[in-house]
This record gives sequence, structure tokens and C-alpha cells, in this order.
Amino acid sequence: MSTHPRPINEALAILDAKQRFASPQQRIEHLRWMMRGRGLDDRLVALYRSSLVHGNVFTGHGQEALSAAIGMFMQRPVPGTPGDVFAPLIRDTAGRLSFGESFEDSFRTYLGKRTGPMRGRDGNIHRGDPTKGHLAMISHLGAMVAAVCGTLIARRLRAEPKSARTVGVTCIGDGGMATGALHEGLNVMAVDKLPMVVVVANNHLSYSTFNDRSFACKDLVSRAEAYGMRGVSIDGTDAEECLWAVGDAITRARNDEGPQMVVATLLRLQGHGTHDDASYVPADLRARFPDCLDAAPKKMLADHVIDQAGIDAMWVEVKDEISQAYERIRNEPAPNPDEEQWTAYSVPDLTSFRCGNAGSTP
Amino acid sequence: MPAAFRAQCVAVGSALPERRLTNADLERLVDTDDEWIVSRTGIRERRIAEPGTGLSALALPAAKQCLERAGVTADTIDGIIVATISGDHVMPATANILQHQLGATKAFGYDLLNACNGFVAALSTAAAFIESGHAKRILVVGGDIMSTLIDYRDRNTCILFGDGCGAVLVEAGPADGPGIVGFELHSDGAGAADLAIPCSGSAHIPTSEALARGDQFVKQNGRTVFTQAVRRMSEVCVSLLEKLKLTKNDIDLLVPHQANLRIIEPTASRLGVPMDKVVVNIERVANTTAGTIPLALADAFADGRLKKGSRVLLAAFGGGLTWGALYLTWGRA
Repeated sequence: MSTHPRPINEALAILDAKQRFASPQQRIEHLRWMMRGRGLDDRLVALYRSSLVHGNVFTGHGQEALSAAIGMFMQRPVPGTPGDVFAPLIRDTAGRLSFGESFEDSFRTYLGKRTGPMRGRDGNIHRGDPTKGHLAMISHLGAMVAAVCGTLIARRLRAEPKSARTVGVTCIGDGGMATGALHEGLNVMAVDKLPMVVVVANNHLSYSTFNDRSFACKDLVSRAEAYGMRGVSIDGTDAEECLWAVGDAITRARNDEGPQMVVATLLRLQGHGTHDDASYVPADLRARFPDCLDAAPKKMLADHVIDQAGIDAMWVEVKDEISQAYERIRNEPAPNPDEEQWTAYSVPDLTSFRCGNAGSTP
Repeated sequence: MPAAFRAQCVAVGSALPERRLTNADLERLVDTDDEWIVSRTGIRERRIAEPGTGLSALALPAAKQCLERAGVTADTIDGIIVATISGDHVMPATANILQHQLGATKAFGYDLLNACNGFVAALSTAAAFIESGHAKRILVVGGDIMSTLIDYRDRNTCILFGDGCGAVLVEAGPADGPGIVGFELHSDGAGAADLAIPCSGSAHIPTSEALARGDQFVKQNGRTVFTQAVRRMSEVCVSLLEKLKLTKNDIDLLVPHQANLRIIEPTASRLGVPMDKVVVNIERVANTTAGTIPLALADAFADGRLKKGSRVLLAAFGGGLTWGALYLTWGRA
């Protein structure tokens, strides 16, 4: 985590941001989204182990505090306004949920259901729903920065009042921060002063490559200054810090304060995917980073934000929500090749095809 | 040769920023808690100037209040000495800025850099000017915007310091009247590294690496400073009292530098001065470096404890290392 000195102006700005974005109510809501992300990931892993999942499962264990905060400060589309745009990556289960993706659509995609947002034709993490502001992931190695830039530039060119004050957010990892696509995207984002936030999760593992072979700068946040955007470096295992930093960055972007970068230091607590046991992660590295889903409740108990009964009840409620969602979709059909339009790209009836209930957004 | 005049301390003024930084606020910035801070320092909150506020913004209202209480106008002041380590700039001196803002048209002005012992040193300097006949009226200001010199990731220092400023008007009075009776100043540069701002002068260039390390902020060897402060403050007080042939019974008020309640209490204890004679405001304003003593004097004046004829012992210790004590009788003849 960052050890940069903190002058008084930054300290006061942090206190102000905590007041605005990490109130007791927001911390409780945040914890619930973190739990939903963890609970869904664990359920998907269980389904994978039952051979019900097509492909791998990529989980966000250790990244929930950062990811959950993102959706909390984004504006979901409502009739008449397009809302914000989010390009989540492979570890953003919690962020997808907090920005409005339903448990059902996640299950549908992993289980290859025809009723899912990708109609059972694209794998697990590559899902998206433009009508809800979720861009489908092309690649987690930097491609989505340019995709979000393009969406925001298109909105700017159209100059639609209803698009005013909408923002775009995407995420990247420490490995992705070294790709060419990422650097081109960051440059466009900065040069065009787009209302956009790039959230960087330095989880110390570019698959199995450690930080010392991924980058040579002290802190990835120096890239923000290099490109000409505001950047903050935070402890990604500290839920409160994730809340105020992400909330502050998204709000600044929305208020025309230019592009923002949030660099969170944390540790990937599981393998790259369910196929990877992460046995190459040394114990001393593991020991340096707490699980945010252990640390957050402890801190909230210490701060008297919630009591243990409240935390326990929240877990029960979240697990029940997930189980009910799974039961609702488990018997939905797989794609029928005789009825599919086998085009390579999205088709006009992509959304209308999804007749019926797309799932309940918590 | 006996002095022709005695330097009288005739009025005090003070100014604090509006914003309060409480221990609860600090709990949200660094790994600390209110109970720990209070039990180890006695501090509950500190005042913080809005970023970008120079010391002169506090020195001006403190000086105006002081002059108003003294019933004199700025154009009658011969000199202004500002004790600080966080003036508006290294150049020009804050005393020059204050001189202009006050309209002290005939006053000279300079800043005096002696950390937490700055105000005692400045008051001693003013006394020397007046006793020697080189000036009749000097405004002595002590204050710091310490928040600009603190790393708010460093829980060892950020809990201790605050911003504030005070001013005392010193005038020439009869040699046998009230005023500054004596003072004693010491320093020991062997302890220079124990309390320092490494990148704050010609010895260290503010490279990006130095700034990234936070070398522009206060670094403190807390244990050494604590031990030295208790020892040196009580030593210098005892020494001064002996030199002036005074005893603890000649002290109505002990006004110590407000660095830590756990330094103040043993210092008073070693002098045999009960705590009801000790001015303590650290709970509300923390350590304002050169500002602690004039702020404490202003508080004592406001609550009626400091009045004409009060016999006051000042004592301070700070980065340098530097320490001193000054004994005075308050008010005009």
C-alpha cells in the first residue's frame, strides 16, 4: 500500500470524502455488496466443481471492497437517461452487482443459458448488457479503456443533454497496466479530458508474475500524473478507504474535474481462475494482506457501525438471495441452434430476444 | 551596568483557525484512537488553518487584538519579531508582511527561528533591545502553521501539532518596575537530528525523491525528545530561579510550552509548582510550536489568571535542541 507522505490538504480532502462517501449507512450498504460478490463467486465455484459451468470461473476474492464501491457511486440507466457506463473485468463480480447486474444474469451466463445477456453464446466473464450500461468485456488486458473512451466520446459528439454528467468507469490489473492498449487508452482519456475513472487493482499477480517483474515504478499511481490525470493510491483491503476514494473519483469525474485514476493495493486471494491453485503465491505475501471481508466487519464492529447479529443476518440474507436467484434460472433452456441467429456480432433483437424476466437487480 | 529600562509585557492577543481537527478525525486518517492520544499526550483536538493560509493571516488578528488591549497604535511600534518555523515564506520574513499589514510604519521586523523555544527567545531578544535603549516598544509574535509541516500518515507526529498564533507587546518601563526580570537560554546541537525537518534548508535539496520520502515534514525521535524536554525544562527553570534568587513561592503562574501533558506535569512536579498554577491548554490547541506560550498567556488573560502583577515563569524546549526560561511580572508600571 502507498507510503507517500500525506500533506494537510490531502488529509482534509480525505476527511471530507469520508464524510460524503463513507457514512455508516454507506459502509453497511458496501458490506452487503461485498458479501453479495463473495457469495455469488463462491456459489459459481461450487457449480464449477459440480461440472455445471461452461469454461472457467474467475473470482474476485480479495477485491470485493474495491469492486463493490464502484457501482455504488454510478448512476444506473433509467427511462430517458442513459446512465453511466461500466466496463468491469474478471474480478468485478461485486462491482457488476452493485451497478445493477442481477444474480440471475450471472448464473445464466456461466451456465450457458439462452436467456442470459449473451444468449448462451459467449463465455462467463465476457458478458455485458449495454441497455444497463454494462459493456461486455473484450479483454481484461487494457482493451476496455479504449471501449469506455469511445462510448464517452460518442456521447460527447452526439451532445445529447440526457447524456450530460454521465461517467465511464473501467478496471484494470497490475498486469494490464503494462499493455500497449492500456497506454493508448489512458492517453486518449487524458487528452480528451473524458469524465472517466480507471480503477487499478494491483493484486500483485499478473497471473503468476509478481510486481517486481511487472513494473519498475514505486507505485502505479505515478502513471496517472504521467498521463495528466488525477490519481490516488489506496489500501484496497480497507473497505472504508475504497468507498471514499472511489466515490470521490467518480464524483470528481461527474463534476467535470477530468479523468481520474484510483490505484488500490491488495492481493488476489485465489488463483487466476478455478483452474489455478495459486500454489506459487508465497506465504509471506499472503500474510501481508488481510481478506477485506474479514477486515471490513471487524472495523465496522470497532466503529460501532453494525453489531455481530447484524453482520450474521446480512450473510444469511445474501446467501438466501443467491439461492433463490439460482433456483429461478436453473431450469431455463440452453441455446437452440435451430432458432439462433449465428452472426458473429450482436443482433438488433439482442435485447428483445431476452423475453421474460431478465432477473431482479438487488 | 544596570539597565536603564525594564521590558514590560503589557498585553497579549491570540488567533486560532476555525477548523477543529479532533482525535476522532485522526482516527479516520491513521491507525490511532482517542483514548491512546489523550492518555499519552493530553490532546483532544487541534486547530488547523485552511490549506494555503500563511502565518500572517493569524499573526495579524493576534497583533491587532494585542495592540487594542494595550491601547496603542501600530505606528508607535519600533520593532516586530516573529518567532516561527512556518512563516509565510523563507523570504520575505513574516514580520515584514505583518509590519505592512498592521501599518507599523516605523517598525523594523524580522523572523526568529528557534522552534518551540522561539517565543522565549524572541521575548528575551525584545527585552535586550529595550533594556539597552535600542527600542521602546516591540511586538513579539509567536505562532506556527504546523499543519503544513506534518505528514498526516505519520501517527507519531500528526496527533501532536496544531496551528495558532499569539502576540505580546513589550514596552520600556522603569528599571525597578514590573516586566521581564531575567531569562536563560540554552542549546545543544548534538541532538539536532532528534527533532528536525530534514529538507527545509540549504543542507538538503528538495528533490522529488526527498519529497516522496516526506523529508519536508517533521521527524521526531519521540522518546529522546520527551526525556530531554522534561529534564531540560525543569533544569533551566531551577537555574533561572536560583540566579534571580527566587523560589517556587515567587511563581503565580507557570506557563510551559505545550508539547505534551506528560512533559508539563513532571516539569511542574520537579519545580514543586502545583498544577492549579500551571497554564494548560494543550487539550484544545495541541502543540503550536512557537505559538504555545503566547496562546497560553492569552488563555490565562481571558480567564483572569493573568493580571497586572502576576509573577510568571515561562519555559520551553524544542528542536535544536534548544530550551529556555523567562521570568516576568505582568503589566505596566
